[in-house]
Formats: sequence, C-alpha cells, structure tokens
Amino acid sequence: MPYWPGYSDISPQCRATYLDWLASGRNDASYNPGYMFLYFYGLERRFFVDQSNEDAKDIVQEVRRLQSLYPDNHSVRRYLGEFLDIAMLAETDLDAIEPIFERQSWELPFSLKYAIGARIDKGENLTADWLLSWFICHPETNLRTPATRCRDEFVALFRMRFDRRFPDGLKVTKPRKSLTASYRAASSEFQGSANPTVDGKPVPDISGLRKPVEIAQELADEVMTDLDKLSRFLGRNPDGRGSVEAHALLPSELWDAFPSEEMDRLKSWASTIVDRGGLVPLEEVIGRLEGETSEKIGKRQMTGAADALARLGFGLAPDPRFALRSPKAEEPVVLFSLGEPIERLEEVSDSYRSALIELALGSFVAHADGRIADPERRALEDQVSAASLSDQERRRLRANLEWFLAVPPDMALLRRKLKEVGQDSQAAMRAALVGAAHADGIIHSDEVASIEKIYKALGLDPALAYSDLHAGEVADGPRTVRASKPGRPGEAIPDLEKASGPKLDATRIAAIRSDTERVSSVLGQIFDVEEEESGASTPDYQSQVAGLDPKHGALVLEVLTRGHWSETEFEKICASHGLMVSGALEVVNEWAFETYDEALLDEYDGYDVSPEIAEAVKEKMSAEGRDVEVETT
Amino acid sequence: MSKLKPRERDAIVQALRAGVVPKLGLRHIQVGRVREIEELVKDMDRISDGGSAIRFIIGEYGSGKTFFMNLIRLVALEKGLVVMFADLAPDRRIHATGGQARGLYAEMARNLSTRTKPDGGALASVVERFVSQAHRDAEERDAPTGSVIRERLGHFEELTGGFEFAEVIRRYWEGHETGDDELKSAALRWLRGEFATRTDARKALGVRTIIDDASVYDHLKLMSAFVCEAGYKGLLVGLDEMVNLYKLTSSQARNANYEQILRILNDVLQGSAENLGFLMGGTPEFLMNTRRGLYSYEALQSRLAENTFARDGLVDLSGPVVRLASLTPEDLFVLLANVRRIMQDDAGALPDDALEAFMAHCSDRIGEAYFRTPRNTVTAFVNLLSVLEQNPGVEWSDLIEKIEVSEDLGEDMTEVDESTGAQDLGDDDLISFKL
Repeated sequence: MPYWPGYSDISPQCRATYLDWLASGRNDASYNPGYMFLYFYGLERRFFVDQSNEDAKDIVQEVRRLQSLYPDNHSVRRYLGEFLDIAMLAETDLDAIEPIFERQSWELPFSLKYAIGARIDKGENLTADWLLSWFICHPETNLRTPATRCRDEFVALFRMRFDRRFPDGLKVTKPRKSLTASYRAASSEFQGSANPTVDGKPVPDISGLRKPVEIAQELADEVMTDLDKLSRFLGRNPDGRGSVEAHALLPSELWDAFPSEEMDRLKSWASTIVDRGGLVPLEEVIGRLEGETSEKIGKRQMTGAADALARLGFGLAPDPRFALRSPKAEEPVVLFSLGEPIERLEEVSDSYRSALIELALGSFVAHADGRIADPERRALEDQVSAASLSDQERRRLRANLEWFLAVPPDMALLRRKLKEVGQDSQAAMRAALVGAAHADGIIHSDEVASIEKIYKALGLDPALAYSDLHAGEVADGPRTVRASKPGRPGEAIPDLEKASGPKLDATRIAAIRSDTERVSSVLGQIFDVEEEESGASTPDYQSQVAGLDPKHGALVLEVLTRGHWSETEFEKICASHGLMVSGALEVVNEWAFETYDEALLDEYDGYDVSPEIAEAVKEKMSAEGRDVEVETT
Repeated sequence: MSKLKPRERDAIVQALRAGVVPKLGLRHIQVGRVREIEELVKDMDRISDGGSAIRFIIGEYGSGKTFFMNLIRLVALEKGLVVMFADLAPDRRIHATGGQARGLYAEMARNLSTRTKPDGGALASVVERFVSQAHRDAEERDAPTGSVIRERLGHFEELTGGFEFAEVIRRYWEGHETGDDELKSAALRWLRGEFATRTDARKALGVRTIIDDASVYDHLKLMSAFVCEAGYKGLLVGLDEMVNLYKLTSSQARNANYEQILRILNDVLQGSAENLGFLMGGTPEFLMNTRRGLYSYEALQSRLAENTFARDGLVDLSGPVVRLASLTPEDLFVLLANVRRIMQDDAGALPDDALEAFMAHCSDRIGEAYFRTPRNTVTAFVNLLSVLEQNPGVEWSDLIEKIEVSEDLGEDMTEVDESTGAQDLGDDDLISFKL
C-alpha cells in the first residue's frame, strides 16, 4: 500500500484485504491505516462534494469513530481532525461547542473560530473561558512553565482575574472578514469549502484579531508571575502539591478554591507566637512549615518560610532577602503581624533597605558594650519611627529591630554588606551610628571601637568618627549624590562665584550675644574687684599704707616719690628696707591690684610707677592728714 | 563689660595679628560658652577653697581650646591662684624616662605666673614672697629665719620630695642673707627642674635629689602646697596639646603617660589633692581613639564616660570632660564684632554690613574653614582694621576684595618616637641603656 492509496492503483490482494476490512465491520485497527483512509476518502467526498445534508451527521459520527480507532497515528489524527473540525458544524449546535484548552496545531481550530466568531456576531461579550481558549490555541502566544505545571491553578486564577477586570465579559469589535473554511481533501482529489453561518448570516472571521489575544497575554503573564513561586516549588518537590508550603505559595485568591486545613492550623499557631512576643527558634518555624527540620537551614528555606508566612499575614524577621545574615537553626527569629497578607515580600523601597542597614549598624553599636540599655532601645525605635516608610515597611523594620536586639550582629557580614552602600547613604549611616552611641548617655570605648570599625568598613576617614562623636550629630550638609570626577585636561573653568555670602541667622546671633553678655558679666565680676574688698585683710600691722606691712608700706612710700626707678636703684631701696626684690615687687603689686585694680610697678627697663596709683595714694594720704613728698619727673 | 586697658588692647591686637591666643584681656573677646565658663569659674573657686579639679577641654582644631584655657587661666590668676601652663611637645610629656617629663616641668615652672606677673617667670616672686614673710615672722619672734622656714614647711616632709624642697627654699634665704647670688639662682634652677643630675644639685645646693621624670606630679603637689604657704589660693596646672601623647608610637610610653593622668584624675576625684587644679586640652581623637587615645586606657575610659543626655542645649558639665563645639558663622560674627569694638571707637566703627561682606569674602576663599578654624580669618580681620586705622581716607568696601586669607591646615599629626626629646643624662649615677 502506498502512502496515498487509490482503489484503482492498488494490487488485487490489497483490494481483497480492503473488502475484508469493510466486511469485518471497519473496526479492526490491526489493518494498515491505508485501508481506513481509502474508506475515509469516500466519506469526505460524500460530505463536501456531494453535499448530502441528510447523512452529514452520520458521516461525522463515523469519522469520529474511525479517529478513535487509531489514537496513536499521527496522520489519522491530523487528517481526520481537520475534517472533523469543519464537518462537526454540521452535527453540533453552536452552544454545544466546548472551548479547547490544548494547543493542537499551528492554527486556531476552526470550531473555535466559528464559536467565537458566532458569539461576536451575536454581539455577545466573551467569557473568560472563551478568551482563554482563544489564547491557548493561538499560535503566537507565549505560555511559560507555571501555566503548564500548575494548569488548574492557572486556569482558575485566569478566570478570576478576567472576571475581576471584565465583569461583563470582554467586548470584541466585529471583524469585517467572514469566516470561510477551506478544506483540502485528504485524498488530494478535490478542494472543498464551507461558509458556515449562524442564523443564516455569515460568521465573522476572528483569526486576524490581535487585541483580545494581547489582553489575554497580559492577564496570563500576570497570573504566571503570581504562580512562579508555586511552580518553582513544585518543580523542586513534584509531590509537594497540597503541602502547607505549596499552599502558602498559592496566590491568596485561590485559597478558597484550593482549601487546606493544615493552613488554618498554621495560622493559629503563628498568632499564638505573635501574642507571646514573637520570638521563636528558627528550627521550630521551619519544622512547622516543612514538617521536618534539618541541621542546616538554607537561605532558600528561609525565603520560602517568609513568603509562606507573609501570605498568612505574618512577617518573619530577619527578612531573609535583605538581612545582613541568616539566623542559625537554634537562634530565635521574630514572628510579627504584617497587618495584611503580602505576596511579594521582595518588593521594598530603597529607604527600607538603607533603614535596615542603619538599624543593623545602630544595634551593632548598641550591642558593643554587651547590653542594650533602655535609652539605646528607645533611640533605635525612634529611628524606625523617623524613617519615611510605608506603614507596612515600618512594621517589618520594627520586627527586624526586635531581632537585631535579640541576636547580636556579626561584623564580618556587616562589612560585606557595607561595601554595597552608596555614598549618599553614608551621612545617614553616620548619623545613625553616632546617635546609637550617644543614646544611653555614655560613650563606651567599645562603642567607639565599633564605630571605628564601621567607619573603616565604609571607607571613611576614621578621624571623622571622633569629629562626629564630638559634635554629637552628623552635619546636615548636602549629601554627595555622585562623586565628582576630575575634569578633562584643558581649559580651566573658573570656580563659580557663590551667589551670596554665608547666611547669618539673626536670632542665633542675638542668642549668642546675650550669652556673651552673660559671660561678660560673669567675668566682669571676677576682673573688676571692688576696691573696698581689700584694706582690712592685714590689720595686724601698723603701717603707713593700709593693707601693707610696715616694711612694704615704707617701700611703697619711697617708690611713690619718683616716676621711674632703674633696676639697681630699686634693688638698693629694697635692700635698704630689708626686702627682696622679686618678693617685694610681688607683694606691692598684689596690694596694688587688690586696692586699685592695677599694678603699681610696671617692669619696663627698670620699673615704672603707675601715675594713677601714685595720685590715688597721695590723695588718700593727704585725706588722712599725712603728706607724701612726690617728686615730679 | 569691664573697661579695656590700653595694655590689654595692645596685647590682644598684637596676639591676634600673630595668630596666637592673647594672654590678656580675653574677656573682651570671649563669645558665648557661658555655661562652660561658669562651671570652670566654680572650679577655680573650689581650688581656692582647698579643693581640687580636673577638666579635659576637648575640641576640634580651631574650636578655641587654647583660647578657652587661657581665659580660665586669667580667671584663676584673678582669683589669686598661681598658674603653671605648658604645651606638651615631643620633648615634653607627663611621663618619660629620657628627661621629657622634667622638660615639661621646667617649661611649666618657667611659665609660672601670678596676677602681678601674668606673663610667666614669677617663680622667684613667689619664693621671695614666702621667704620675706618668714623673715618678717622671724624678726617678730626674734628667731632665725632659717628655722622659721623649716618650721613653716615642716609638713612638707610628709610629701614625696618635700624635705629637699624645704631645704632648697632655705638655701635661697641663705643666699639672700649672705648676698650669694649664685646660691639663690641655683635654688631657683633646682625649683625649675633645671638640674639634670643629682651630682650637680649636690654640689650646688647640698641636696640629694632633683626634680626628675618620676617626680613631676609630686612636685606639682609640693608646689601647690608651697604657693598656699606663700599666701596664694592654690595652683592651676594647664597642659595643652595633649594630642602629643596620642602621637607617641610606643604603646608602653603612651600608657605610662595615661597612667600618670589616671593617677592625677584619681587624686582629684577622691579629693586627696588640695588647692590644685588641672586643665588638659586635646582633640576628640585624643580623647576617644580606642587604640591610642585616652579611651584606649580602660581605667581612664570608664572615669571619663560622659553623660550625653546633655545635648541640645542641656549641658551636663559635672563630668571631667568639657566639650567645646566648633564655632558657627554666627559665633564668628559676634567674635568679629567684639574685635571691632576693641580696635575701633564707636564713632568710626565698621558697619555690620562690612563684617558680613568680610565673612562672605573669606567663605569664598577658604570655604567652611573660615569659621571652623577662625585663626586666619581673625588675623585677616585685624589687619583690615589696622589698615583702615592707618589710612583714614580708605573705604572698607575697597579693601575687602583684596584681602588674602589662607586656610588653616591644622596640626601636625606626625608620630613621635618614644626617645624623641630624650636628654643626655650626663654623669648621673645610672646610665640608661636599651636592649
């Protein structure tokens, strides 16, 4: 038998075999399918060429029966399928046509085109199923693994999303072209065609329409992304369907469709933990979620656990995606309420990331002295409140802080993370660090040491650490957004003139001035000693000059007689009074300071006598009825 | 404000032009810092009442540590204290084995000042004041002056080195009595720590010991007791540029110095020092560096830990550390206004606009440094005022753009080897050697 058999061409034996096959009820699949095709050629000619309407339905049923005889034969499936696709319209009502969710060939199945076209023609909006069917069978669409691996979830979620977006179905503009079915006979003897109609009208041809397919692709992409995690999990654990973890990975909309009792139990367990304060060993969390615990807990497990919990509305700190390090199995983690189920934990703002690192640094410094003092805790909490974050991120940050305080951070890891920190965040970090060190009111050397280390890790000048600590805050200057690059050699551009000089704050100046006046008055009291204060201090001595003993008094009286004394002269008069030069000078001047607020003798190329004091003493003396001879020079 | 004396005016102008902190009249230019000053004034009162005090004046380069310390120094003088101030240097440390500590003491002794001799060199005055008092007593009681001196300094013998100290004072009297100027000057040299070897001291004065590296702090205590005997209220010791200790490369040498500081700190905090106060000026790095600063010495760190609730206007100054914030542009403005008031009379004074224009000019030239390290800014300003004073026809606005002002590049942070500044011990009993 040749591939394209013809009754007239085949050998007599073959003809006999053909007749045998026909006679045996046309249902023995052990015969060469060529005989079946020979038979089928007749049927298709009857259907398309003779256009016999009365036995059309019987023909379709017969072909369907034949097709089922050879389930594995590709040619059978193809040729008979093509026939049926078109011919079935004769047999089936429009409403009886089911959407197809399997891509069969490189073309949209005719029945699908017909069914959708007829609906459009009637002005009906497309339902989710029809659009999905159209989408799946369309040759140009793109289906990723999640759509096949999690088919049920995919279809269900697609329906939900479609219904949410198009509550009344998708309205499609009616294309102008009408649907024509052209049929190339399997026997290649003829070409048939059919112009299917609905209610006597031609059916519009949808094969040229793009818009609905694009919409469908958009929906499908969204759905597939949401199913990614589940798909990946199922890829790793082919038997994982139905487990808590798999369930937790389901988009929350699907929970009702795919319910799980285990899930509810998990939820109530988590809420008791949160009520107790949230701290729980990591191994217990993983054990709950996976049913078993392992010695080592990898990052992937952590992420899975965090995602699973997030879908239940619980957060896990440390956040495995952004944390500086993962906790060890026996270390505690913090469970907390997220307020709402979250599906994409990985989507966080940049300020969340940097705030997290700042917190880590801050808690590192706070840990440095071996304990967390209340003010340190408060300062870190204030830091969380001060960050500009969404409410939900703030919750997460707070829990992470809780964890940082419970489990001390590790410098080596911190340093690695710090390398990734941008320059613009450095000022904020410096502020966070210094704030943390200052928080408990005592700067411990351990805290300084840890700040030194971090500054080094940040690539900052360690000397800056002391300046920052000294100032108690980081200067709120402009941050470097991008480091300046050295200019190209060539013409030097003159520096920009500053538009205006430094702005002075008038109120500050006033405050400083009043401060300064207070200083002046404080110092003034010290430096302007009242004259009355002295005099009575040495009352024991009978002296010519109040406040001095007789010897010095006599010396003063003698000194006053001249305006200037040379060194030797002064020595001589000191000696004559039995006094030592330096000592006498000291005593006399001390007395002059006490009494007149100025030195009597000024050492300058010998000794100058202050004329003011000379005058004052003279006046006092004469007031007391004694005279002093003063030689005027 | 108390009146400005011409002597003070000249001293201020001269010092500011040279870019150094004036020694006199600081109260006329001091800006703000009222709480710190009040607190330190209380310290000075405490010292005069027989107490003790220690303060670490911590501030950035240019924040005015030296200015602040000098101001307190003047306050102390005015309160009747004797002051001994010195800057630390590679060859001047608190503890050393190569003569550097004695070098520091010698420097302090040379700078010893009283109110009547505020520029230093007052050691002889103090000694003579004491001796003449003793002599007067002796005359009244008709006893030999030497024994009165011995009697009055009798309690010195309880103190380390006290006996020799009293002996040297007595020798000074002897020198005066016998007209032996050499003996007098030898006694002063001994008191100033200028004898390098015991042999020399014995030859000149007949005493067995000298002020050496190991006894610097003991002699500061003796000196405080002595100035009280001489009728002063107490002694204030000021050590600036403490960062020189930080620069020491040998941790052993550093720690020995910090141990000495700890000893002082303990004495002061426990009240075993009397009529004695310390001011130590240094940078934040000197204080906080955990490898080489004061914080590297655990016992010191715990005593110096600060109460930093005291931020944002609330200041707690009860701890030994006084932090000086760097100047702000506003502070500088008031400072310049103060300088203006000192140099110009009200009639011919520059308007405020000129000050702002001047600051803007400096800011253009050297950026923020113009107020953070104001030394050069102030110098330039003083020069501007001088030019205006000497050329009455010139307008300030013509001058400002021409002013040169350069950035103050800060201190030299080169490291110091342990043996830097070590002195030749000559023919003393022991020869130092290194392995």
